[in-house]
Amino acid sequence: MKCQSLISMTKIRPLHGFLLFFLVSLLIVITGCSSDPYPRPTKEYYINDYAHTLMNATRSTIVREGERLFDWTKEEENGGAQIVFATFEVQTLSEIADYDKTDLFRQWRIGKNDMGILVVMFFMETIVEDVEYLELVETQIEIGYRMEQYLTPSEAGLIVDTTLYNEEWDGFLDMGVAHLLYELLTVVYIEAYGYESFNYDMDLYLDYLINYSETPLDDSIPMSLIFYLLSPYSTLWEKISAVLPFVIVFFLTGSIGFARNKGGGGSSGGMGIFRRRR
Amino acid sequence: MNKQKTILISILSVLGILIVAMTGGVIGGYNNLVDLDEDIGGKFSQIEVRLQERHDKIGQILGAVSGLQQHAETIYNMITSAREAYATAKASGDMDAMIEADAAEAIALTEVLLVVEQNPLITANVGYYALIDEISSMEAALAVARRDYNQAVQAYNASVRKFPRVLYASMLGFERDLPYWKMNDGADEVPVVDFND
Repeated sequence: MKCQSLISMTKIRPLHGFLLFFLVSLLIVITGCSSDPYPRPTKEYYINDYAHTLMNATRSTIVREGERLFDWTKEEENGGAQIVFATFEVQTLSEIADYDKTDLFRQWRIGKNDMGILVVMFFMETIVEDVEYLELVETQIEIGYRMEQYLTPSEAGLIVDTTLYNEEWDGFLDMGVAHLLYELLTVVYIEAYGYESFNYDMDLYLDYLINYSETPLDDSIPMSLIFYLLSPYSTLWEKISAVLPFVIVFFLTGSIGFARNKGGGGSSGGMGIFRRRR
Repeated sequence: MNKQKTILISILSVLGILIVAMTGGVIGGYNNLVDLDEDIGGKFSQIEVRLQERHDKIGQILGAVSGLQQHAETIYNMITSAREAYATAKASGDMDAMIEADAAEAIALTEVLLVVEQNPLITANVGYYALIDEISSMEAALAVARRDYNQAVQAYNASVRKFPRVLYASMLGFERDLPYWKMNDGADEVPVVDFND
């Protein structure tokens, strides 16, 4: 009887071990994950179109120019500038108050050496002549600590007024967004890194926008939990806790998706602008 | 004899382990409190930097908006006295007076916005939006600096009051309740630029 009992225990042990391992891993993941108030950045990082309002060409341009800016400046003094765009849909104007651009900037750790710029656009559903569409209701810009000396709030405000809210692009959001991106790039390249010039042509961009036909980017889905835990956005405890689930997922699925870009570790202190349009 | 010796060694070993553990705990706790205290110092400096930036910008802003001076002599007086009060409080290290001066400046800036809003000749000026952007941004940055400071103070105060640090924190020179940077309701609200197409 005693022998039988020992044998049956031996038979069950591997299953118990696996269950215990799984439960402990799950517990560690649950306790290790902090409850961030905002979505994690997308794999593309530079564009986070959670409102699904931008054309693929514009998203692609934001990512391409963002990667280029980071690559070209990362070796310079105070280098590694990043310009990140985010769009959110809100039901009411008061819902915008639930978003804190500084917290979002810090959570996404934009820009190496605090050389980051975050552009947040809020959209609300509007009905005009029975046609529903998303209208841009507010734009906010958050400027990284070190970037403050190159881009003042009044400059940022003027740029938004003359690009995104430019009457020329009225009703053509993508042109306004691209124009805004190019003007911000101009400031960063010339003012912050001493480039002689930065040239762009909005007529050429319009042609590009019309003729664009490429695979859409994966830029409105937050990065996977596993990648988040391994990314710089998570805390040390979260990183440690990532090891076990990483192993489990790897063995269960055989692969883990990696993000193309990531934040430079920057922070900000609330400098920036708010622009509301009714 | 051997048995007694073994018991004595065991007791001494347990005591030794306890002393090492307690010393380690005190050293760790002390270092953690130093980190928290330094963090508060850093956050306080950030408030000072932001306040200094506000002082520097106020003059530029008022000068940039033509027509404001004749409408708002009282604002100049408010800002001047708030700046003087802040300089005095900073020199004396009186934090309550610094907070009061900070609030007085915030109120004076709100008055600037009101005067600009009520005078169409001023709002027609291109400098109007730049003025609002600068003011709102300065106030937003100050609000963040105050919040960061208060969070650091909260972490420190909670740490000092927790067991077992509460037993030795004051002996090692750590104050028990550091003051928060408290503003009156609404004094640190950030204005939003609002315009029609």
